[in-house]
Amino acid sequence: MGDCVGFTPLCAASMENPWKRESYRAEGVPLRMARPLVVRIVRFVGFLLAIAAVPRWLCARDAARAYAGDADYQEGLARAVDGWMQRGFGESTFGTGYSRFDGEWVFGTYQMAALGFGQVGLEHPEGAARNRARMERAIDRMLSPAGSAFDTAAWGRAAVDALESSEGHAAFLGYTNLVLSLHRTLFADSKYAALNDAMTTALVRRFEAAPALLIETYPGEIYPVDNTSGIASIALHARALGAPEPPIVLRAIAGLRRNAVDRVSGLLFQSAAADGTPRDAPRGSGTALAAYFLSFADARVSADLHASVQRGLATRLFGFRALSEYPDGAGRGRGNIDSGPLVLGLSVSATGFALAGCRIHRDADCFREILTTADLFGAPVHRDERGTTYVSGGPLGDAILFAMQTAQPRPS
Amino acid sequence: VKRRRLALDAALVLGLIVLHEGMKRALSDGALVAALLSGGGAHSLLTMCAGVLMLTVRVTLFVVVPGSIGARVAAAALSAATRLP
Repeated sequence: MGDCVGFTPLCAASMENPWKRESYRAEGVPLRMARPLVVRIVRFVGFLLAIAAVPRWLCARDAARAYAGDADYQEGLARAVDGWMQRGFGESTFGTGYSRFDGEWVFGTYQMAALGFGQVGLEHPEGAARNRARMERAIDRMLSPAGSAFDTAAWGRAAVDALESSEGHAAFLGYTNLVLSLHRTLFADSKYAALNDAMTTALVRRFEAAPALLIETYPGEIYPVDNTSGIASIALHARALGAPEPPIVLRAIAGLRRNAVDRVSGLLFQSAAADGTPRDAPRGSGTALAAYFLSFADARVSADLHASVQRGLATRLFGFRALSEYPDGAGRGRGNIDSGPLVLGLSVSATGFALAGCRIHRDADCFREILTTADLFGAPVHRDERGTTYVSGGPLGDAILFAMQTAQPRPS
Repeated sequence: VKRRRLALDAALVLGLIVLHEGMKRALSDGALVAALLSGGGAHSLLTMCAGVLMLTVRVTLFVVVPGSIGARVAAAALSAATRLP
């Protein structure tokens, strides 16, 4: 009892339990004095080791299948996204408070869905008929008045009625034509062939006429990432027809690198003036999406953008990876419509879009770590009849993750 | 006492797993995102709170629980090692 000073719980326990007291004595004085600190350190090390190993294992269970392009895994994603297409949704689903943004999200959901179905069709030709029907359902929605409403409202008339004009319509034309070119690549008898030709011609003419080789998305507004979609659609259209690539593709890519890529970070400026002067900071969401789009046109430029994103924006911890929106890591505000909400400067959109670059450029670690993050915070639900949906995804999140996870290297 | 505490902890983790799975399924099909973007109303506020709770439970289950188990295992290993003759 000489060790006890006052009535402490330890003394009380040792008085009641002779076995414990014996054990306590046997440890010796120096170790006993150091024991609380040692135990704390050992517990902390055990905690760190466990969280370094277990969460990544729990959240990365699907990563290997996704990276390998497992047909069943992709079918689960496709079924869920097609469910959104069939059940239907509109601007009211999003309700950001701005009609244009709501319309953009509706349109973006259809585009990502169509790209995903097309990519699954490319990777698994055995399911081509099923995915063709799904892809056409999404394309038809893109081309519907509801799908193009955001662009029509901004320009005062629909893009398909203004193909011969000088109006930019870069987002609607570029994003839609990329999907149509992919459909044409898959199906020589594409029912969208005439529209694909007309849109391609309209885009070529617009790029050739643009002073800095950048087309307006809305009157007075230029977004380089929207232009990358248009460039990619022209290149893919030529490839689908087995025709030589129009020279404007190389010129537009060179113009983009000269005018819209930040020389320090290698990231794409989010917005530019008509003469190519940057109007916004270089950002992760736009650059990661551009790396995906440009993979359809020029693998090298896409690889450069992907490398810049990973080099300058990636944060890794215990097998998880997320990307910042801005290269200085400062996290400007709470984010906006492009980046999604920023958490400690980390961008939901940039992180999601970067999945595509990881798979396209065969960066398995990057793919696994980002998908692990998406799993932890996205919370996927697997159901046989409805496929795989993400609790934090909604129609747009599900469609983006579907397209990004099924992106693949272009055949040379 | 240790066994009782272990049983309580196991029951707590089991309860969290059941809660997590139930909430995940209830919030799937876009309910959480719709609530997040709808801008107001009691129903959307409730759904958002449920979403935050679901994510908190998920992070607890996937990160805190394994870490806590790791800490206990490490402490038990130390205890066993220091009792050796």
